[in-house]
Amino acid sequence: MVIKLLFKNILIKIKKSFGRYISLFIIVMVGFGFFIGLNEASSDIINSVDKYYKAHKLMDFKVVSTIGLTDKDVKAIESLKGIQDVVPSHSLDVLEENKAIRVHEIENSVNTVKLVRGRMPKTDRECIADSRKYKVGDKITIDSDTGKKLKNTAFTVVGTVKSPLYVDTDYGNTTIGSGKLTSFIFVNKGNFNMDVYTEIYITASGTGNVRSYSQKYDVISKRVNDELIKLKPKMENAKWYIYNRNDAVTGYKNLKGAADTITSVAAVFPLFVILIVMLMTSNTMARMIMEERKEVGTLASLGFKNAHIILTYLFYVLSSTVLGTITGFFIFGNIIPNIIYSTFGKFILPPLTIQYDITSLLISLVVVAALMTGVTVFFCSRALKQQPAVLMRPVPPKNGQRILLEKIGFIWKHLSFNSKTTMRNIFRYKPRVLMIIVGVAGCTALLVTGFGIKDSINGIAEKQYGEIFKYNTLITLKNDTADIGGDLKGLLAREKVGNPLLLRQETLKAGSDSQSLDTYLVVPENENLFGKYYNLTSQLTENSIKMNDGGVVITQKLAEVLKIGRGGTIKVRDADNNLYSLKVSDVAENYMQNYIYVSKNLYGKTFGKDVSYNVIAANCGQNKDMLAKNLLKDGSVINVTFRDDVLQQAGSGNKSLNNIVVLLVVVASMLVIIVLYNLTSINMSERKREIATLKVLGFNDRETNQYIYRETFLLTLISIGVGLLVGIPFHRFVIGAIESDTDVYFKNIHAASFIWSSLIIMLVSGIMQIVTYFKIKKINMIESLKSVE
Amino acid sequence: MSFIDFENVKKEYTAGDVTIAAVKDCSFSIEKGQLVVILGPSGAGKTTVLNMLGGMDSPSGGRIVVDGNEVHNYTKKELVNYRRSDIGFVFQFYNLMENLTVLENVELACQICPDHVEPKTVLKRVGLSERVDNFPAQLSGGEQQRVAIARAIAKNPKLLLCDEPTGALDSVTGQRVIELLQNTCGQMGTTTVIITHNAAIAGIADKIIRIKNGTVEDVSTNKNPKKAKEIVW
Repeated sequence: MVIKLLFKNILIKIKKSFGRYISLFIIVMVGFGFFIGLNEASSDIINSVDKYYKAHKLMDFKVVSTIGLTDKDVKAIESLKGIQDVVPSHSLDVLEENKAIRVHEIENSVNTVKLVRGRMPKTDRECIADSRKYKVGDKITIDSDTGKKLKNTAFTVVGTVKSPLYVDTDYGNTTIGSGKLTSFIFVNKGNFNMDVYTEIYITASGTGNVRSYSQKYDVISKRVNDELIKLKPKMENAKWYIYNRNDAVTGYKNLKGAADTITSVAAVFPLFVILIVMLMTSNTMARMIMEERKEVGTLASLGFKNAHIILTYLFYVLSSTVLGTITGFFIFGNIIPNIIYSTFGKFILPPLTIQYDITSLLISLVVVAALMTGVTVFFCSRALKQQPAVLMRPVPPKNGQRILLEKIGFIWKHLSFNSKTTMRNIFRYKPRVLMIIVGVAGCTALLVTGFGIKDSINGIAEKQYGEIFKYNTLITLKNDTADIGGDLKGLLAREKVGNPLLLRQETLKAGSDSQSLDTYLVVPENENLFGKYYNLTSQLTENSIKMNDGGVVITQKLAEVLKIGRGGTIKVRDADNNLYSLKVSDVAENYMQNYIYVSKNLYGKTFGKDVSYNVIAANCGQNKDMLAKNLLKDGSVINVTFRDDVLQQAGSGNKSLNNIVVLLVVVASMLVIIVLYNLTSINMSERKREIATLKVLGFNDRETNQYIYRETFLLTLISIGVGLLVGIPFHRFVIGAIESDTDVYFKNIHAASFIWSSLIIMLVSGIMQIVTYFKIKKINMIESLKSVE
Repeated sequence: MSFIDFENVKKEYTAGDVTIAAVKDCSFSIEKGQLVVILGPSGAGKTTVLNMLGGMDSPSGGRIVVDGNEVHNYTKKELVNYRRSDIGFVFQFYNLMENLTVLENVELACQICPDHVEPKTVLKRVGLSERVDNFPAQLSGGEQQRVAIARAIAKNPKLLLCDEPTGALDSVTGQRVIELLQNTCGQMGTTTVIITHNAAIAGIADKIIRIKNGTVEDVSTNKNPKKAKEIVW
């Protein structure tokens, strides 16, 4: 009976204070929704992609060889441990209307395609093609000489597809045309007219049961990779190249990088968002119990048990916050990952599947319920400790008191009357002040971090490839050479490649076994010209660096991660696992990739062999596509990279990050709205009588608003200042977390970011001032001043 | 024409479908410089009359003319200005700003009113020179009411309106507050209206208006008002 009555009371309470009920609901929904959504986004994305890979049987390894592969190679691989499937296959890069595309063989047991429209080919004259570039019914005619490797050179597109081999809109490099693959098609097996296989796809056993990109996957992958490497020397007179997914699937690695970035950005949020949500909800509940003390007193005086009274409030708060969490989980847990996924536009991916991780919902629910129960029980019991008679009287307003500032006479005396009252009011409600500062400063710091991430990452490619690397073209040679002579000299002269600099460039692992970084070793043939193309600045002395035979120059990330300075020794391992030690003469400023620059004399001494060069850096003014085409056609060149392309690719990567920054800014703004709205309305309800008195005295609405809001505004300004300061280390921490092993981000935040962060907060504060203005207008003097006995 | 003319004033409140007349057909007049007591039981509509007189509320019908101004026709904005420059209010529960000192409470009212009296002078007049730097919570009820009176008269109002000014005070303290009001009215010439349900106070008034059930029951003038010291309750 009692319970039934109290239950009815709860329903009436909810109805009566629906605004508060909803506000609790919304705070928790937004706060926990964002928290869950952001945390789930990354794993939702990886899971969706993993499902896609599995559904289309993406290979684990690809082996190619300089002279093609035969059944002998297939047998050898099949004999290895831990191999599930070995599929020999063909592919060929060709030109279609001068654009390079890759022709694959349709496979059924590995790298299967996802049919977007149309059907699979029935005849050898039909093909299925990249759905981004082709439509069903298109005719594809190959212009380049295929050397009879293909039966047909004209195909009709009967189906458009996506392939798990192409995850990135950047399809990768080729040795024909302008050096960039622009699309792909798949044709029937019978179309290839070749004696040897061009590649062997390998599926390792066990990878079907583990998630792509997971540690478990890496373990299996490494084991099989080691097996394959062991097998490599046993194969006669051919050189094998083993590619794992990172190397063979364009975008595979970048996708993981993008997801990781989100994980680290998301990692910044939880504590902060939850802190604000908790502060706001506890505050709301404390306020409610305070306001309803009269009712609490009445119930107590009527003889209701304390437990029953507490239960009423518990039901009120738990029903709203638990519902809020669940709603947030399903709404934001869906919206946020999808928003983030939409920033993955540079990848070609299946639609996102949201998994709704129930565990994180349960954890959130437990956290919400525990905290809400704690707060409610605490404030209720505190109220119920008082006699009902005491409870039925209102809380006397908080007494005024002198503040510290008043003791500093020369400041206090010079303050205007308004400033004095503002200062005193600020110090009167200390908990609220604290909450404003924590909330607003926190949001400001979040905004600074968001904008700062943008500042830190945008522009590193321009810095690296514009200010440090001064060449605009990098040409990879097919065969190593000791100098530019003979045919190569002729080719470069004919194509007007200006000031070519020969370089030896190889990849190494630097550091110890426990911590190793991929790095490029670069040896210039001509050190004067090198100085022109590589503008190396010492990170230690800020002077420009000259190469010398006494030691190598390493880039800053290597120095930082491996903790090596000038005079130290860096250990490197080559592809065949030989270990070399190099003395470090200087550390160079550098932003992308890791480099070790070695003079050719030192290289000879250290590696015990003369330098053979494989790359040419140059500055070319002519049309890029023509140049690339002509160089590649010659046969001695296998790749041409232009600065513009590198910058463009870096730009598209930044774009997805910029969207994340936008999300961060939106969340921070929403939070600051919640914080300010909540605190402003509490301020209003606590000071209703004060406001009414001001009105009676003849203050107009604007003046009353100023009197009440001035302190919030001042506090907001102070909080912005605090937030800007806190934002700096916070940003540094986040940048540290998202920096990869190869990139160095700028440490500085631009002035504009500070300004924008401040402006956003001020804007919200301004809007809140308008809201209070209208609330103040609505306050009825007579009602508010009615006797309070 | 009198200083204040209340003519057939009506005030109705609507709650749902029910319309309740708190004040109906209420008429009286007050001369400049008079001390007037409005007497009546609780719920009679005294406060509503005072609120309308003070520009806190507008009548549903009738005319309110104060010093030649038609207050019943005032817009919201005009009402604010009216309260600001013409009216001083004193409440039963003082309604002081808890966070301002005695002096600051008076200064608060003065800063929006160009034609004000020096706050310290007013506080001296109400006998609180020694307490200017105290906060309301450090004062007794009587002292707090004095601050409220000081705050009201510092604005140099045409009309001082007091809603049960002694309602929360013991009789001795209440008597002193009444004395202060009477002196203020006499010395400054401020027209003063006191609302009370306490008939004993009526003795000090120049004019007594009795209100019952929302309308004026009786108006009487007092040729020889008593001194506040002489009344007892």
